[in-house]
Amino acid sequence: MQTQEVPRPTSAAPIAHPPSNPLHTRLLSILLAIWRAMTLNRKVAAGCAIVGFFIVVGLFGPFLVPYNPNATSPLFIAPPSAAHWLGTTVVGEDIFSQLIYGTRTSVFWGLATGLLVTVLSVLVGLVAGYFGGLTDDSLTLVTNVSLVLPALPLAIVLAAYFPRGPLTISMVIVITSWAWQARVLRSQTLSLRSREFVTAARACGERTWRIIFFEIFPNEISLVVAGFVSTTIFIILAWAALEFLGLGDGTIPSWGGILYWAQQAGALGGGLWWWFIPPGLCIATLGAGLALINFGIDEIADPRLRPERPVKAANARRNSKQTT
Amino acid sequence: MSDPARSVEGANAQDHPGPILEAVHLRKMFPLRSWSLSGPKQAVHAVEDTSLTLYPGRATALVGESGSGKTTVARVLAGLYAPTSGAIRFRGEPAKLTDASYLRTYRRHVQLILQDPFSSLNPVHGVRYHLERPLHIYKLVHNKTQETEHILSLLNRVNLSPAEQFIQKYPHQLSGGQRQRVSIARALAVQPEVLLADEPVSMLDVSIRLDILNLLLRLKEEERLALLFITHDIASARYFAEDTLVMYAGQMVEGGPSDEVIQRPMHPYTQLLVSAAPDPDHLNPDSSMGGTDLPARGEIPSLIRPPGGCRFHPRCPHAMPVCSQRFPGRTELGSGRWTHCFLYGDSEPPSENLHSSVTPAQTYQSSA
Amino acid sequence: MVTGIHANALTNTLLEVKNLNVDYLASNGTVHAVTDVSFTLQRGQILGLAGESGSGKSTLAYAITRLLRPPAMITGGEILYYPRSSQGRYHRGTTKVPTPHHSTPALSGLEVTGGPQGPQPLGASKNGKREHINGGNGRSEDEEQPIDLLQLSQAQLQDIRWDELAIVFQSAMNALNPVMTVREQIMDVLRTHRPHMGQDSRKQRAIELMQLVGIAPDRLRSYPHELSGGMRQRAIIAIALALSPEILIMDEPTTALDVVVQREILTEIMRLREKLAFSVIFITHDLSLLLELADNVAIMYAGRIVEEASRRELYLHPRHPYSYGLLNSFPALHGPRRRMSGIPGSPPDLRAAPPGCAFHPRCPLAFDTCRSVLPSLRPAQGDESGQHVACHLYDPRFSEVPPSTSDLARAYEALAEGRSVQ
Repeated sequence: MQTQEVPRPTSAAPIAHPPSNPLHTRLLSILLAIWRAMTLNRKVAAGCAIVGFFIVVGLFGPFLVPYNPNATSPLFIAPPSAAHWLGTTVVGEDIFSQLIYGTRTSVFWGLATGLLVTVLSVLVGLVAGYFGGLTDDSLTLVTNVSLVLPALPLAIVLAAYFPRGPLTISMVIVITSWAWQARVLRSQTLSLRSREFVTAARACGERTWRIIFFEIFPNEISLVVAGFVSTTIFIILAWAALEFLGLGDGTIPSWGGILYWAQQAGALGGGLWWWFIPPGLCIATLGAGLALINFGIDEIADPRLRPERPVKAANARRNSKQTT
Repeated sequence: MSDPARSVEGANAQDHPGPILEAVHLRKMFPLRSWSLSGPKQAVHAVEDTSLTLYPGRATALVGESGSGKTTVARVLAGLYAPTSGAIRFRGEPAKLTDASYLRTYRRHVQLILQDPFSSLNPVHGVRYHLERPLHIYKLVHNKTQETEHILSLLNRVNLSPAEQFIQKYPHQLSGGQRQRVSIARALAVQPEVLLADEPVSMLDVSIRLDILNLLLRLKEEERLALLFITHDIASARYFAEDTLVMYAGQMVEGGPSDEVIQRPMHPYTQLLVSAAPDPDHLNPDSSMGGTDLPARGEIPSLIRPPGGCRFHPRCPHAMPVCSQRFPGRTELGSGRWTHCFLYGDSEPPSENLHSSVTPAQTYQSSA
Repeated sequence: MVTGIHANALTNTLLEVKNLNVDYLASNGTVHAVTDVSFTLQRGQILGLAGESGSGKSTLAYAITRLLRPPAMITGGEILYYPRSSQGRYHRGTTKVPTPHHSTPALSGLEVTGGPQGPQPLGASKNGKREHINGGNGRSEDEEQPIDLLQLSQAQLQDIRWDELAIVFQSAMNALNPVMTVREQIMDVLRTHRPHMGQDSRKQRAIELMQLVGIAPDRLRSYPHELSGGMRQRAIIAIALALSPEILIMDEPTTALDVVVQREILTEIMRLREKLAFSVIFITHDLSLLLELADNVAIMYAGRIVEEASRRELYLHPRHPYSYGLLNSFPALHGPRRRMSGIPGSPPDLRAAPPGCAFHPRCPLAFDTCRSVLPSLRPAQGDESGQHVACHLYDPRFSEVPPSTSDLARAYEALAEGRSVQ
């Protein structure tokens, strides 16, 4: 009967130091991980393609447009033609150029506002969730009030009061939409706070702010990203709505602004489809792209939502039946 | 890894092994939020007048079922909760655990190991991060090389070899036993003197429990650690610890050398516990189970409205009228054994009136 | 252990599992959770299944009751159930539960379903199933024909579930519906499986069940969260016994309970078994419990049965090195205090199971054959009725002299010595 060799630790050998990865390798691996995440799931890939398309258009489009979006011309309300791909407005502006310029405004202001809302909701949610007690009570009060206030009327009032422009609209949207994600993050933080690794970190002597941002927050990143994406959808729609109501700066082209002017000129009644359909389509498509990303994130995070792979299962069954 | 200051203290300790950590008449209540503006505030009476002493190089087991308060005692000793009343003494000096800076120093000497290996490590951070944090917090290393060396030697001490492989892993890549070893390594990183282990092996597979317990015993020998071993399994308490304390519903009921307490239990609750524990060696293979009737039935009482006096009296087959009126004082039974039971004596109850009103508890949630 | 050559009603076999295989299909590979498991359960027997994580014991329990969901799939084997024949169990027109409170004898074609989860769609009638199984070739009901549980349709399965085969889950606390009182849950089961029982008979039955498991009947009106852990467990057992099943599968029913409550529940189960004569498959990681409770014990490792024996034999002569190691992982409550060691290493990851015998990396007595050849379950001492062990040490082809218990003890000690010199 042979006894098995007992592996002994090589305490006699010199301790080899594992290489710590230099910064650029780590960055590269993070980028690679993001790329893989984006392309692996079909929904995410489709959504990223759509959003990417709009970002590219927003970045480079304005350099390539044929006309100045604010340039009037004698050609009023012209249907699409070779010269004006999407026709003209009631004062002869080229709609296509307006659309391209509007993409830049809508997409970038939308993303920036989304980022701002996310940062605010993260701060409030995490602090309220971790500290509990009076801090939590007061922050929750503020959150609940903010949720209950009717967002659209408040937005209209504020936008009408402050000077016109994208900054105002951005601030107004931030004020009226940070609360929802804050609540979500607060409850997530509440549940994470009682997890044992947080207790262990406290018993180790970690400082509170480190626990919040380095122990708890990294576990919520997927929730935050998903929240960011859905918030951005909402923001783009809200932005278009506010612009449509005429609360934006009419001179800066945006999708909602185009709709505003179209509505003013009675485009719907007059059958000027080339005026109101393209911006609406853009809003819807960008929203759909972001929603696809969101679904995809859900699928990546929760394996139970992944689509069934019936072909693989059948193959496996066939193979194993043969061996029984 | 020797610290000159500590070695002097270590030498002293070996000459006079005085207690290193003591809990004296600890009580902990958790107030419940009540919606009524009048009437007495309700609270969970988690720990009621508990005293224990830990010595360097000795393991003490705290045995109890759920609701016994044993976990609460550990957390109070670790500084995670403030006691409602009572005192904690570290090396004979009162421990001011409400003081944030004192607490930080205290935590260098008293570390806690938790029960669930699957959630006591943060899933987003690797093993290296978990082990380097205590080193950074207490400034035990000054550069990256030192840090890596220290971490590798910690991993080797808990038998996670080859250490170079484990240092790069993430918790989800480790088995339960390996995760628990990482937790132990993390606790050891600051070179503590006291290790509070809250059910360290209850959630591990049976065949690897002894490995972890033996590891802790070895570390206790090598480092002269004072170990508090909290468990519901009385057999492993006997295996692991020199002394065993038994708790029931927040009250201490018996204590003494492990073998004595378990072979000749005095308190009716300890007797119940010992008779209920599965014992393969006691097996008469020809008889089937169910022969013996347990000496008491019933369940652990609610801690919000606990029974008065000795909380075991509703289930105790030997209950007397006095048992419901007050909690028995400590009766020494000789050879280091003691119990709180009117069957063995009726010593004076402690000077502190157990039924006085208490101040609301504070917690350490926002400090440190 | 008689393996099923066409057993008839006169033998004692109740359930026979043959070469059961269960796989989990994941995108990164197939995990063989249960491989080639065979065992027999006799009437009135308590069979203990012991194993640690990854042993496949819970998967086995779910497979027998066909509660597995994708990605888990049963990929082979048979589960033969031998229903009781001439005691009127399956006779048309009689119910199974012999209490005087049932008013209607006949079971009509109304449906049926699983446990406390609530009503589910209609299925075939019991009588209909019986004919179907027999194939309608004119056999009388008295002749025994085992039913392969794996071949049953969902409707037929619903008939068997709870009536013949009940399961008490690991997280039994959570199996109770938090928004229904205990009485409602019991009545729910009775209503679905015994649709012709009157309301009053159902209430009476509920009270009987509570008394059976030792809960005061006035707790029937409580919600699950108002009951303590032990009482919830008893309630679950009461629901499981509501239809007097033949087989009760218990998957770690007392793991989450305190040791005193655990002892009470187990005593209760023994008592109920005496009274109602059902068989139990008791699954747990706590081998010391099984040694007090079970008649026969089967030890599983990495999805296979590595040893099966009566509890006396297992306690006195554990054959498989894993069994020995497992037995010696429980510190003794009485007797001399000595240094013990468990088994080195940890249970294998089933995605990357070692070749040959899955235990060989941890085994103190492993030799070359163990690394490449899979051992099969065979008698330890040459005759069929004794212990069975899946280990090359007992295979005369590979090993001349099988090890004795003291050989195993020495091997483990040597291993512990080697490890402690560090």
